[in-house]
Amino acid sequence: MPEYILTAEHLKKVFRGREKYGKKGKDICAVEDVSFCLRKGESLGLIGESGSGKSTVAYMTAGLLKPTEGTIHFYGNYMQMVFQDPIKSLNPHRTVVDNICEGLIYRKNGKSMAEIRKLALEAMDLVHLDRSYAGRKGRELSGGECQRATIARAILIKPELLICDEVTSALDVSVQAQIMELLSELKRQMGLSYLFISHDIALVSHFCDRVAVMYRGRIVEEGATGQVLEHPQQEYTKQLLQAVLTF
Amino acid sequence: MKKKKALIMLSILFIFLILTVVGRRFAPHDPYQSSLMDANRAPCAEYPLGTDNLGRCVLSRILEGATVSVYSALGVVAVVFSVGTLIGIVAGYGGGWLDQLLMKITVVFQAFPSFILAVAIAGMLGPGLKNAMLSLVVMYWTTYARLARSLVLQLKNETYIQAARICGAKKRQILFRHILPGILSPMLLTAVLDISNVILSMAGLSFLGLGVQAPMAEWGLMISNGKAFLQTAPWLILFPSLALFLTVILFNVTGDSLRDALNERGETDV
Repeated sequence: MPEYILTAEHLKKVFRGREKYGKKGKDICAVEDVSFCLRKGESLGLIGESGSGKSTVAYMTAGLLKPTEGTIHFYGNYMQMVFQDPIKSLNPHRTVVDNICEGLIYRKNGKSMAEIRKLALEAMDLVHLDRSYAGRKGRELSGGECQRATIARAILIKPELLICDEVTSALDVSVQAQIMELLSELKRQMGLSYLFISHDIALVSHFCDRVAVMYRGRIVEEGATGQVLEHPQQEYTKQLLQAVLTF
Repeated sequence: MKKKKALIMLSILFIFLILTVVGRRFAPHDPYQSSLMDANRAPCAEYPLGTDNLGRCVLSRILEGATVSVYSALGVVAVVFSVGTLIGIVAGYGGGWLDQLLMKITVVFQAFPSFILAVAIAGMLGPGLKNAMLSLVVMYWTTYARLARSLVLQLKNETYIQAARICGAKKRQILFRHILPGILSPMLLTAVLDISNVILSMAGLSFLGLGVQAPMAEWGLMISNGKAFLQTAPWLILFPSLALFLTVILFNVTGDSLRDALNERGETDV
């Protein structure tokens, strides 16, 4: 299946409950039997309420969590991830450019530090973050600026897949729009695929080609964005869409 | 503003540390030269801080003792800082059974009242400067191990560490690039604030006869010797205590100003 960039089959994640006073803790099944695939250049939106297992899927896809069962195949060279909290995503003790350099520093591919630095500055241009920010510490930036920096770090290695875990949730509305604009721009320029996790259905409907709806650790419905959001088949999807304020 | 204050305090401390080393050169008398003719003399022109029961110059002995009192404490803090931090990082970053084991050991050490533990160990090993320092190391390392561990655990799950993992960082690289720099400043701060405690504990051990032995000049020991002459020659206790007091205050104030400076987040209140 060469046209696919990522396939995930029958993912399951069980979090072992903590033992307390000799009693065995309750196991929590966060994700169960989740399968999805992502074509090159496609954006897949993952929506659902809090606790439905969206982020767990993202973390497993990124390799930060090991799935209890199931397999993930990635057919590209690199994937990257952007997190929900932009300010915590940057090391507060390091400068912005140092933070961005992280994207390449561990996989240098024969590049010197000076080259990586130059690439980091170019990436800052690409995400419209003024170069004058380069020498500042992470904690001196606003949320939107931090998110631009983390996106710059993510695209530094030229990944084929970008996982976005609620990237706009911590930002205010006008900045959200700017960040979404930036992500669309990068998609056009770099041919990125996105795994876009969000609970903001309006954002997903604009940005994603396909949508998967998660509920209690399972994908209950999946399909083209327009089809799922306009003609939902499942009861839960209908409820979820009704819960969104109409505007 | 706070940074300036911390800088001033640090330079004062630095000058003080130099003075403790070179101070003995300015001693008006040989600190070990006793002359019974001059025993227990009140402060006068020749002996600015008086003499002790063996006729030794108190000022000279205070200057001489400063090196032992201050630098033994610095040595103890340096050892405790490195050992404790190392153990804490291994426990916190390694996790698993090693963490359990190391923390159980720490708890065992913390189960005793700390100074009693130091006294017991110094008593067991026999009096002397080295043994006293060793017992203080045993007494103080747990604080650093626990602090380092909790700081590492806090940092370990930070989002930027997750991001580094996705960027391909190995455990060792994360440790050196993110975790060590992250825990260093709170650890160093604790160390600076702890120096005065160690100086006092050291003097305490010497006072009890478990630390530095006569005839060596050391403040705690001098206070201990002077207590027999409290009514006839109060300067024997007064001046070494004053030296101890001022030193401890100096370290404490410096530590406090350093903490204020490091807590400041770039911006200043209006």
